[in-house]
Amino acid sequence: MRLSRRDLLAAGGLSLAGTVLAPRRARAQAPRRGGTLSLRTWDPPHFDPFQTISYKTHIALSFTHSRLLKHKAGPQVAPGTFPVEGDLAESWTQPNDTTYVFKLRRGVRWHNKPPVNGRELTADDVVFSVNHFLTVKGNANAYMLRSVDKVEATDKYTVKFTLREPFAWFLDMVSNPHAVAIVAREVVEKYGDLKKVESVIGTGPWMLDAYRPNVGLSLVRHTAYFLAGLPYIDRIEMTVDEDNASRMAAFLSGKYDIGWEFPGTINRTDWVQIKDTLKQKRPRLQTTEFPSPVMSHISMRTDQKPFSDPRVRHAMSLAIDRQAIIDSPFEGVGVMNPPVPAALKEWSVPFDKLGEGAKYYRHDPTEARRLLAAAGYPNGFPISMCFTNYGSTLLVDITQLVQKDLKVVGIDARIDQKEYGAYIATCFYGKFDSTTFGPQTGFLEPDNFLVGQYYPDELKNQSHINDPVVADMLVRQRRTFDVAKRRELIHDIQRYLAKQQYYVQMPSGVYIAVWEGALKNYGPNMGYDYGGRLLAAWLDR
Amino acid sequence: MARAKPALEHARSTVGIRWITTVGKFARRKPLGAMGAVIVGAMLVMAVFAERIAPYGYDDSIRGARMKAPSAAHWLGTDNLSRDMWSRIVYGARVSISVGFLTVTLAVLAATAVGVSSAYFGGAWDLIVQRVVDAWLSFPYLIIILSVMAVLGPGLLNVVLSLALLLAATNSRVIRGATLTAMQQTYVEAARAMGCGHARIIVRHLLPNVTATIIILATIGLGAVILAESALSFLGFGVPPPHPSWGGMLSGSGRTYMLRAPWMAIWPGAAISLAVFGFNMLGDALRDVLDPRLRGS
Repeated sequence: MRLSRRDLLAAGGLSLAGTVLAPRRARAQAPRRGGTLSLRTWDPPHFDPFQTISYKTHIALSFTHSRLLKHKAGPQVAPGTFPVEGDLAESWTQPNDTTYVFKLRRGVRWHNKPPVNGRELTADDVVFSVNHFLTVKGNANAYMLRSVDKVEATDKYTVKFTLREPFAWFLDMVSNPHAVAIVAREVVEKYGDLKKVESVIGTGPWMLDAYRPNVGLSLVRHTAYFLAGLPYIDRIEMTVDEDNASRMAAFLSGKYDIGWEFPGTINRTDWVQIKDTLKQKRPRLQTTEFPSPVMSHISMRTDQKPFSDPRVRHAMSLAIDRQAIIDSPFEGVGVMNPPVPAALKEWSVPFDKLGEGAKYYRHDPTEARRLLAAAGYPNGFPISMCFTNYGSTLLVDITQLVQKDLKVVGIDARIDQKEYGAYIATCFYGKFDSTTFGPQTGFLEPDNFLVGQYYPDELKNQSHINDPVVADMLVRQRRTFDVAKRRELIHDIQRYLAKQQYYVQMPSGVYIAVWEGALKNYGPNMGYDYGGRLLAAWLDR
Repeated sequence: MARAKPALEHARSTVGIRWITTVGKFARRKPLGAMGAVIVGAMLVMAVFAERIAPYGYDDSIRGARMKAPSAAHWLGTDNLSRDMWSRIVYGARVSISVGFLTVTLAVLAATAVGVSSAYFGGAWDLIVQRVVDAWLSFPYLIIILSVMAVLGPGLLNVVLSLALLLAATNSRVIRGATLTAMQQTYVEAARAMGCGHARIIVRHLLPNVTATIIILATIGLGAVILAESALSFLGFGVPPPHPSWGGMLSGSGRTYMLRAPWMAIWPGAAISLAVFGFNMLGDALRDVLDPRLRGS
């Protein structure tokens, strides 16, 4: 073989390029420390996680506070699944059905701020936090740990929980970002509560550096964080931006590193409009799609006529054209929901396994009218529908479609529009005369959806259901520790509920999670735990 | 009787001719005002005869017509829920015009009563009224509206009431100023010297001289009220869906789909602009015609 000088030069050039480029690529895959991540946030009403259920507060605190357990995060975790791992707890055991023992990591340091000044976290801090969570007045999330009878520190690094009754979801509740953020007793004692910005002191991966009301928050790396080397990102800049046009423009110009809507997504209506421009302006953007756990439903006074008649409820469900909701407000991409939202893929029963009740999710106005006539309402009836728009045009559009569909079968729904605060104080907690329409919190496990909405006298039992069959099944699933058996029980509950139609479930949209290509080792998922999802992420720029 | 009938007809035709002549003169002297009157008139007709003018119902979805651009079938296009935009604009006039007119009428009546009486009677009454107005104006307007709505609950009439309360406070201060100026005039002094009562002085001498201010306030306020209604609709206090209001259409789905279906934002926006323009032009012209100081200018 003869090699010309040109061939030799080309081969030499290629070799040189290889030696230069290969290490760079290898280096690029190794986590790199530093950089500033920018994202859009919401102005927290205050900073006390035990005094509000607001996502605005919980998202901010997900960066600064730790929990006993947390949900695994990263590209390897499928969105809609929530495997549990230790946060402050290094390990845990369950000696019997009602006892959990957590071994804490040693050397966990509080943020270096007064009054804790970076002291070590101990089991007493965990005990204080749990007791505070359970007993402080005004904690709407306290129900999550209602099963706890006693929590005690058996030594400096061991915490023991004793439950009143078996509760198979206990670990999921403890790891849920809605639940107990671990706080220090001195901070609560110094400030009275945790509402002030000065009281934002935790053991989390970032420390609050600055808070500018209605403008934003700045977070800096907690240098003494208990996982060595983490977090990789030095600084988080969170901007409060309440105008969608402004957010969209900011994202197009590269201001935000992840999608501006909760939880790091872009609404499909906006995405469809800007995706081509984004391809040009931000070609490195990464995306993934997964269904939203936020599901709207019609709740009704099933303890009163006409909704006490299952035929009326079936007719209501058959009247709704769910596909039209997917086609229009959700831009053609959505999922049908049985009683547990399809987004919780491990727990939601597939429609082909929903059994007899699946037929009520069809759109069949003729059958709906026949059922209404059989129930004694051949001409339908008027209803009032309590509603608040949550500032969402999407929700307003869905409501209009629902109202129109009901009108077709003779149910004349008059919208009783309320201001958000008034709605939450009344209709959201079942205080209405006829029906309510609106979204439910996108919980991360089925127990919150099912027990809250279907167990007698629960606050969020909007439809006033008192069905002993459901109540019994709900209690049994809580006592079933075998995950496969519990899943089957949860599926059975959904099959039963589909036949009852105590709530008329609407489809959910499909999130488009978007993030900058330079953000590595990031995996989007549902829930408020922004800090957890960014803990091991790093910036390649 | 045989002779009375033609006389009546003659009288009627004379009145008719006089009207036409007056309107013609108004149009020649104030062409922009006449244009404003035509716009306002058209909107009133739209509001009253919406069912006859609109080709579709305000919530009729037209199969296969989602976000269609303006065409012969749908002059102003269709929205994201496949509804005819022209029909919704026509029906929307009903809400926007009703809210606008009712609010401004209520506000102007209240503001005039408060402003004129405060300026005319002065003393302790003026002091108390003005401090109450000061306190009222010191709150951000949204706080006041939200508080009033929280007490009264959402609904069209309550929107009108809360906006009127807000507008009345601001306007009363301006009307008070105009009344104080008018009170310095010699004809008021003369009326007093002649022994005219308070009612006569206020009705015959002061009110005509602050009418121009009132008309300007009313016409300016009308546009602001239409816009404020849209803000309230967005916050969930306005007209409940699916009833359309121009403000609601603009701030709701109009804004959401602005890049993809700009007509969803353009037409309600144009309707609001046109309404505000029409009312302002008409108000300006009326002021010129009705103000005794500007008469003949």
